This record gives sequence, structure tokens and C-alpha cells, in this order.
Amino acid sequence: MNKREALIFREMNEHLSRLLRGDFSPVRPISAEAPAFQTLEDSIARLATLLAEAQNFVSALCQGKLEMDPPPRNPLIAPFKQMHANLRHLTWQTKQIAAGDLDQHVDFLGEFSVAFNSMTEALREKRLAEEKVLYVSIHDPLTDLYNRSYFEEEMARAERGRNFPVSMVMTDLDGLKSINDTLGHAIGDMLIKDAANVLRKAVRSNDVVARLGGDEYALILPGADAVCAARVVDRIREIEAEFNREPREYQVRFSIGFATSGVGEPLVETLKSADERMYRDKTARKAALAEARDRGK
Amino acid sequence: MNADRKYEFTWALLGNITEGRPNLGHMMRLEVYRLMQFCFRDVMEQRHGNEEADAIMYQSGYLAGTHFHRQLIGETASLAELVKKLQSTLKDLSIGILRMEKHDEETGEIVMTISEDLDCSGLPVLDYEVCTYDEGFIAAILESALGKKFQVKEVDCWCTGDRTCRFRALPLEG
Repeated sequence: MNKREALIFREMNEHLSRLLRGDFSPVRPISAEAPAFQTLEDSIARLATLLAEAQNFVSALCQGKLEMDPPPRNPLIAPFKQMHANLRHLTWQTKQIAAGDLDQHVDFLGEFSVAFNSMTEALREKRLAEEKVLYVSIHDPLTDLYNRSYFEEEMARAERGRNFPVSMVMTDLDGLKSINDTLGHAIGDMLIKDAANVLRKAVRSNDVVARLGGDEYALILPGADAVCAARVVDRIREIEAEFNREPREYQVRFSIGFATSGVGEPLVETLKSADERMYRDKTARKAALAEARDRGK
Repeated sequence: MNADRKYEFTWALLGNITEGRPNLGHMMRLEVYRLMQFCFRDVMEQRHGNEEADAIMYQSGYLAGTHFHRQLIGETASLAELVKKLQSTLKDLSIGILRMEKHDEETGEIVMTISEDLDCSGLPVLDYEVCTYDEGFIAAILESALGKKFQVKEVDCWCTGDRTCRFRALPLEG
């Protein structure tokens, strides 16, 4: 080895020592006059570049700067790129969870995956419990129709909304007390449930059907004028008649009244009018029944 | 079907494997699939050059992706639902592990990675990306699901020394 070659070797050694100390500054070209060393010098220069890129990327990763794209074609950081990809995906999954998708599942981060999946499981259970509580709070447990408190909320919402005219239907089940007294409360409950199903089948998906209590049911028909409401009542009568064609210990018989409200008219008043008409219907039905009974004597 | 064509693809061409392979079934060694794919590439490159070979692979992936979406993914209401369905299907079929990295709602850019990829994971480092078939496949699935065309480019690949393949999809104008 001549003096020049020994000098280049010392320089190369110094470059490598600098890299080992974490100094990735560019390599100063020294071997232009000694082409035999060019490949070695190029490799050291490339190594310095890759290490500098790796240091930048790993530092950014450690600081949570996931938006930084990893340097391409740098084999020194392959495992860190995988970690970066995992963390970016985890960020996407967390955003999905924040948007309400609790079915996200992690299976690539060891013990963290277990913890993450337990968290989403707990969130799912919490949501189910909340949904159950919410359901119970707005539904009638016997019929699964909406309850009075939800009905009143919906009535207020309809009044504030733009979907006028709104029609209200009041119905009362005829003869429930007599069924309870003669056949027992279990059969009375079956009648209440069957009556609910008759009403449920007669309405549109955006109508609200509620059991207000006892034998009283009420319907909110948003966007329905008097003609439309009369059609709903006709449908109730048809389904009621169809139900009663089957031989049973009891029959579903409704007294019905409805009223329609225009823009700005309070729905409480509309409901009151529907209720009054329902009572008129009940009186008329009772009178008709008595007359039929008398004729039969 | 075009009567002049001999190999126009339909899903039915994949055949009834349960009936046809009662003993050997659906599974085979991955090397066999790669042997076929890389021999196709070799001959395509020899006959048409590497750019055209890559274009053919992209187009083939696009055709496969279109049928794959129709047969195995179906309609999805959102990108999130598509990702979830695609993730489970790709995993169930041992094609790869898909992970979504980014969806820029303003530009429409989507970045996703596929690890343990059917085509490239474990290949020697070659200093260039090889998953051109996957690029076309992903482009077709995104187009089928989201109703707009995408250009998909692989930006990291096992063959460039990375451990996961990363694909950047950009919506095409118009």
C-alpha cells in the first residue's frame, strides 16, 4: 500500500467512525485520483445517506409525526416502515371508531391489540346497554309501541317541523275491561298486543304509533291531510276486520277519532279534537251494539 | 360473450373446484402460483418489452378486480364498509393483509398497504416495485365500489426492501 492509498484508507476509516458516532454528514470525495477505491467510497456515501434518512424518519416516528412519508427504498428502516404503516392504519381505525364504527379489530400489535380489542368490546357493550336503556325509556314494554313520553316528544317535534298538515288519530280499545274481568288479564294483554299489531300494520314507516296507557293508543301522521288520515282509519278498519275473521276468544274493536292540524295550530288541540271524536264514535258504536242486541232479542 | 374470442373471462371459467378436485381441494402451494405468474411476465417481457408487460399485468389485475368485486365484495355503502369487507375477504382467501392508511376527502387520495402479499412477499430485493397486477386490481375495486376511476401506483414494495406494499390511489379527472 503506498502513501496515497494509506491516506485514503485512513479517510474511509474516519468516515465510518463518524457514522458510528451518529454523524451522517455527507462524505467528502477523496478518491477521485484512485478509482480503485471509488466503489468503497460510493458505498460509504450511500450508507451515510440511508442512515441520515433513517434518523430523520425514525425521529419523526418517535414524535408521532405519522404524516411524514417514509423515504423510499431504504432497507435500513424496513421494520420501522412496517410500524409506521401499522400506526397509520391504527389512526384510520380510531377515526372509524370515533365515527361510530365499533367493529374495528386490531390483530397486528401484540399485547396492544388485546388491549385495543378489549376497549372496543367494552364500548360495544356500553353502546348496547345505552341502546337498551334508550329503548326501554321510549317504548311500552307490553306492545313495543312508543310510550306516552316519546309520543309527547314527537308531538312537540312535529309541531316545530315543516311537515304540515299533521293528523292525529286517537283510538280506544272497546271491551278491554270486560275481557279482563271474564277471561283474565293474560288474555286482556294478548288483546292489547294484537290491537297494537293492527295499528302498526296500518301506518307508514314515518308515522308514530304509541300506547298512551291502558286501552288508549294514539297516532301522529306527519304530512297527512284529512283525506290521507281518513285512508289510514279505513286501513285500520280493514285490518281489524281481517283479524276478527279468525275465530278467537276475543276480537279487536277500536273506537277511532281523528283531526288534522294546519301550520301554526297547536297539536295538543288537534289531539283533543281527535279524542272528542273518538268518544263520539265510541258512543255511536255502543248505541249500535245495543240496538243490534235489542233486534236479536 | 364475444364469439370471436377464445379466452374472454367469465367467473364461470374458474370452474367447480369442489367437484373437479375432490381429493386435492382448493389449496395449492403459493410457489406454483408465483411460478405461473412470473413465467407469464418473463414471456410477456421478452415479446413486448417490460413497459408493455407491466401494462398487461395492470390491465389483467383490473379485469380480475372488476370480477372479484362483483362476485365477492358486492355493494357497500361507504369506503369504511368497503375496507372492512375487502380486509376480511383478502384475509380469508390468503391474498394479503390489507390496511387502510389514509383517505383525503378533499383530494380523494387513498393510501393502503398490503402485507404478506400473494405476489411479492418474500421475493428477493430487486430495487423496483413488482405489484403491477395488484395496482390494477385495487384500481378496479375502488372504481367498482366508489363509482370513479383511480390511478393506482405502488410506492413501496417488498422488492424495494420494504416489508409491506404501499399503494397510492388518486382519482382521475372527469
